[in-house]
Amino acid sequence: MDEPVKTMSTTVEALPARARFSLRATEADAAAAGEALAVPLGATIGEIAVAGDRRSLRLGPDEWVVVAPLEDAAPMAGAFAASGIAGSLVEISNREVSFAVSGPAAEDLLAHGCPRDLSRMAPGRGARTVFDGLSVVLWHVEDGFEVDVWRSYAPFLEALLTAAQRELAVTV
Amino acid sequence: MLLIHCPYCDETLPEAEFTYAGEAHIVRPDPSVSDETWRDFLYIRSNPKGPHAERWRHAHGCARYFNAIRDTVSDRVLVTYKAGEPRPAIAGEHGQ
Repeated sequence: MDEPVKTMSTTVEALPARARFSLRATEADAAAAGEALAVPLGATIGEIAVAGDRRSLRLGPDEWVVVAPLEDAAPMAGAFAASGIAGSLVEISNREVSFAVSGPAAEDLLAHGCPRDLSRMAPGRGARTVFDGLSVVLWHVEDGFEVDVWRSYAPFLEALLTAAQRELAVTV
Repeated sequence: MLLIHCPYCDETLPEAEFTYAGEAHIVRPDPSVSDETWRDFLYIRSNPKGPHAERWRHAHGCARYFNAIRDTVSDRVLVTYKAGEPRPAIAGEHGQ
């Protein structure tokens, strides 16, 4: 990915690699799983929970995505395995890449491909949703949105985002 | 575009996040049944003009299957409910 693209109203940039896990666990095991991974797990679907530089997003009734610094991947997987929880923790660090979309027109930019009403997705909320046919995970974090997408689709998504940016730069 | 309520996410979301997955409440028979019963299970579906129980999947969201009753005349989704729950009663021949 090339230089980050910036305009008056939006910034799109690829984020550095990070550790990611797909966690599947029942409601009853969630607290223990969170303890083992040293990350809180949101109680409602769409909730982002943060502890230091680790955070989680609840995607469904029994599914969370957990991100952490890259060097934490092995210790977290080890701690989960040692905990004996009857759940599934799959490392997906290499499967996905993330883009940061920020700036005052970030919502307008994402509205080019996402059918959700993003004004109703407050900071601290997120979801797996669709962007122009791609399955993406949206995080509304403090300083804008982060978009996770499968690695092989990343050039396509980046092209879509930068095309939308050019359009916004003309119209805003 | 249809707006569909996901009973797991408890949010009403655009149809683009969902995929249709056939008629709901089709019970798989015991494998020892007659060929005719097995054929009916595999291929015979109801095709009502009015409320129709369907399976949908929140494929681009929480990934869960759930059931919906959709009026095939108005294309309006009358109610959605979690997989495994009984079909709720719908008042009237066609949804309002």
